[in-house]
Amino acid sequence: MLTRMERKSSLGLFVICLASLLVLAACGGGRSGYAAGSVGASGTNGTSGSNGTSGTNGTTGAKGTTGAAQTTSIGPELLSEAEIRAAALRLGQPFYWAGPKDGYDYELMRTTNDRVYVAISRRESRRARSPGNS
Amino acid sequence: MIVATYPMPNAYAALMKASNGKGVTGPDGSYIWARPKDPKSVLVAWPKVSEELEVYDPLPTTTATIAESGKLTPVG
Repeated sequence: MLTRMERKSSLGLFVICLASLLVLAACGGGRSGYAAGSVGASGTNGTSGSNGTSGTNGTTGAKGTTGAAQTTSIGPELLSEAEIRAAALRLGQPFYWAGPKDGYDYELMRTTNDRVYVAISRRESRRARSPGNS
Repeated sequence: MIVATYPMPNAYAALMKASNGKGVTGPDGSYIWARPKDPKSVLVAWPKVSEELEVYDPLPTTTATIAESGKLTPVG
């Protein structure tokens, strides 16, 4: 039979142990929560989170340096008059030329900073540059 | 010959400023200026148009002729 005093001290020990366990759990759980939480590796601001390196706004994300919002470079492509007119519709940004000219083709190039270059070249030079004619 | 299109808000005012007003007025109210050190290129801008054009040709006379001809138009 445990005395009243012994019972009290056992209960106190149990409470202390329980409190210690809770503190430990809080520390350990907190750390893992940090890893996966809003600032963790996979959290909102983490490496792969929405603001992270590969997230929506990150370096490789949809709005980042290599993301979808950046202009895609084109060419240089050798195009006929009809083809360059079609390209103007496709690109969705205005660019200029000195008008169509009989016997000429057009070389179109767009850079990643939206600059568009149209070079005019004689059709003969296109054939000369094609394989088998060099 | 190469016609380059550079997206540029207020291109007309910017070109006027860059040239110190030493350019000339061209067709359709355009403003044309050739850099003194680079006569093979001519820069062109229009009021209320958000693009500046650069026309390049190895022959300086060709670039000036094209810029002043009114043949520079949007493709499409």
